[in-house]
Amino acid sequence: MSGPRFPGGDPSAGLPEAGAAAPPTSGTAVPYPADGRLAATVERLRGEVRAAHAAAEGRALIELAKGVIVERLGCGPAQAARQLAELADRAGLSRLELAADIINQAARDRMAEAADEFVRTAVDEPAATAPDASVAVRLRTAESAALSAGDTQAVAESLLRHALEPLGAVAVAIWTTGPDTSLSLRGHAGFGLDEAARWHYVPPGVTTAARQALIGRRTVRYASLAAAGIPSIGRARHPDGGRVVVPAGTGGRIHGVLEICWARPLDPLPQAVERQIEALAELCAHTLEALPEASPGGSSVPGGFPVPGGHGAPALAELSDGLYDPALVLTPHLDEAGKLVDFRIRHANAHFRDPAGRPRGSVDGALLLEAYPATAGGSELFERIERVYATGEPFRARRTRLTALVDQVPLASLADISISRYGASVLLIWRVEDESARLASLLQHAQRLGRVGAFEEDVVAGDITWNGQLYELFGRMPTEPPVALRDLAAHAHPDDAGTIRRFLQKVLHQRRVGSTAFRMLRHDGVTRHIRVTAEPAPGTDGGLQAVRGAYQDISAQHWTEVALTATRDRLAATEEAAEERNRLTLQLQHAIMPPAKPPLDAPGLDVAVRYRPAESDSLVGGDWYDAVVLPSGKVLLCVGDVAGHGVEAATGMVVLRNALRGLAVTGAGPGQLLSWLNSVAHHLTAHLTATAVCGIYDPGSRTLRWARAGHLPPVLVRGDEALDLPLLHGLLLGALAEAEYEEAELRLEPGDTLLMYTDGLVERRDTAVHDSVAQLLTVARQPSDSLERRLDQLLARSKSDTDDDTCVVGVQVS
Amino acid sequence: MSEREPNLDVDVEIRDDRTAVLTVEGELDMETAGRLEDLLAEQFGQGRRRLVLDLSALGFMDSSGLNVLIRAVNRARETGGDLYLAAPTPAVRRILEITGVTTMTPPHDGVADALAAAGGAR
Repeated sequence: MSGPRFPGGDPSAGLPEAGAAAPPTSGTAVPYPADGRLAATVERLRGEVRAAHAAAEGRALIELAKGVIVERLGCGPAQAARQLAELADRAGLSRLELAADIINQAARDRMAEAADEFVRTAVDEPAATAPDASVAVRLRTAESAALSAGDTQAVAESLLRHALEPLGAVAVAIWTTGPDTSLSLRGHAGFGLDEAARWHYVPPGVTTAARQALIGRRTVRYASLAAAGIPSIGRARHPDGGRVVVPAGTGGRIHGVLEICWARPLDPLPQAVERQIEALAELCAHTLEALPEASPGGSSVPGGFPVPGGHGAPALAELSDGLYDPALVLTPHLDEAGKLVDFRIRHANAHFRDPAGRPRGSVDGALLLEAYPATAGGSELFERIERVYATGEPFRARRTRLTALVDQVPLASLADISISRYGASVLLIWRVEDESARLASLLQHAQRLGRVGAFEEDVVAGDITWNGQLYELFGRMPTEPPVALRDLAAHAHPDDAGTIRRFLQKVLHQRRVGSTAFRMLRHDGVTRHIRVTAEPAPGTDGGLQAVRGAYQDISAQHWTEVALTATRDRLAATEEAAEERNRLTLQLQHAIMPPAKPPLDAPGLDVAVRYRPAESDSLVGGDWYDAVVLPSGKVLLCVGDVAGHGVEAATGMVVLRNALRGLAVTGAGPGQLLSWLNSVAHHLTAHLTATAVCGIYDPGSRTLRWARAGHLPPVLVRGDEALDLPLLHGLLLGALAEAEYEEAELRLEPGDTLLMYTDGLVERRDTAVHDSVAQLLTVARQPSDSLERRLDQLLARSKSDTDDDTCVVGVQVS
Repeated sequence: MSEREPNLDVDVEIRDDRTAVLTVEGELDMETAGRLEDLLAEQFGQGRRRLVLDLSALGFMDSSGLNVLIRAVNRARETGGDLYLAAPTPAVRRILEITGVTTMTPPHDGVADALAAAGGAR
């Protein structure tokens, strides 16, 4: 996997990338800022010292200091030795102390800081630990010994002797962490061989003092191990003794744990001492990192992960390609100071899908925080990875929120996350919450929102399963037993018992899907309207095995329906009222103008009438006719049409018809009568117009005087001829306050027929009135054996299409 | 009749603060007369008293429509204005003649004539 994207070499080795100068085996040597060559020389000399396996740690220190002097003064080793002795004598120091000072100045590392701080503190706080000018010597000696030691056991012994016993400690243990977070005892001093053998291995998951420090990634101090209730090596011998346990790590990874044991309870340590211990832990970490995995003489590491290439990234990449979930192989990315700052995405597996939709190649090889800046934010994913890398303790979590920035817009998704460390690599696997799980969760919400509770009842075994929502619907605690279908009636309004019985009959006996609604009476006194739907599930033998179904709280719907029903009832009432009104209008019209022949007894004159109401009851109109013998012996003939429909039109019709009858008694002519009728229409009835033809027939002279008010003129049928009378001057009734009406006189001959009609007979939307009237005249010319028959023909052949009511009066001179 | 879709378009063109031309197209019957009446009332409400009805595209008118015209004439005249009918189709002209409305408000041959009459009345 390491391609051209990794110019800095193989970061999986835990090395600092390009620009870092410190060799892997001696991370404590940070280059002296003033002179890089000097630091390199110190380093080289240190290596020589290690190679020589100096018998005495003190001598090694002196040799190291001599090396520094040789480099600085440009003299030979013998001169340097003399110089060192002279300087020591002049300063009143031992040669060893001076050597430590010289090395501290040459290598401004943490060890030097710890020593300096200790001295400073000792001067500032005289009451503290007895001033011990040889702290620097001690630490340097311990360091030198540790670096030259061939194994961790030697390191432990050296640390105890040179650095920890002066602090009052009685024993020390150095643990290493396995890939499975197990702990192996790699070095010990002061516990005894038997105790060390017992504690040579701590399996993962067993909580010990060392594990607390590992998991917590911080120094842990126990004032008393027994009081803390934590097991660890040597507790039997020093139950009340204090412990300080320090994670030993480099480059963001914890390689082991340094555990220091005191015989007595431990007070809080001065800060300076803590710094010393941390410096020692760092020393341990470098030692552990540098030493081979399997230490000579130590126990084998159980569960060791056999990774080709030592660090596992390529093998892990291959392994990850076999996974069906998206996975990333990460290796640590250190800054120049060797501090873990990021992870390099070494491999994105075949199933990897970038949440932001980028191609796999654009993520592969990138730094994690650069590719996914949001991982450092609220999701804490980066911190998780860091922690797993440091401790080796795998992390697994369901439904973790992952945030990805897509075009600077954070998109969150839920995923199951798995993070594990293999060798020096971290494998990050996630599974975006799958569809079925999401649907199940959706369904759950839908049931809650829809107030639906589901059940399944095994009618053979009697087992009943309810979902949580159903308990709520029934107002029962989840600890209470569910209600069996057969007992449902006991939880319902007594009036609904019959309904429920029929429902159960259908489902349990007829084995059909059933559904019913009932009023549920809950313990808590609440009444809910519930709909239950259930279906039978047959068993293997064909008999009824189970019933499953759902209850739904339809109380809200129920009341909506009640409201709707009430509204419908009101509407129906309105409709009935309207029908009643139309019926009354019709009755009124029939009462005034019987559809049958009116009683008329005029000599020499046959009268026939037809009234055809509109087909729609609501369109009952205002047509009227009248044919009445006046006191003078003359005959009033009239048809009229009040504009509009309904009660108002019918009322207007009654007013006008009766008015005309009354006025006609005065003996006035038709023009005068219409003029008066106009005044009636205009003043007596608001917003009412009407048209009318009015004729006064004198049977003696067979003359007809007539006038019209906006109405179609009468039609005269004489022999096989039919013609409409002239359009006399005359405005419709009610339009103006006063109007005058032209009168005409017509002398009729025996056999003549006069037809007066309303426009319902001729009105057509697509035909001008003129053409309609022409059509009527054509029909009127047809010979007919009687007046009655002629009127029937007229109605039958009427081509009107406006569903207006129609009125025809025919008079025939005999 | 109840099966029919209401079929009336009225276009109102404001000529000045006292005059408007309403072009009435389609059929003026029981179903549609109310709309024309509302539009006329709106013009009266805005102080326009000289209203010209362009009837050149009105194909049918029944007594309901006629009543709207008659009421509008009366209302306009009560307040010193008038309603001018312009260019009725032969079918509508015949209705106006039969009902005598032509004597009440004689139709003009076109909108221009009607407007001229309205202007002359000023």
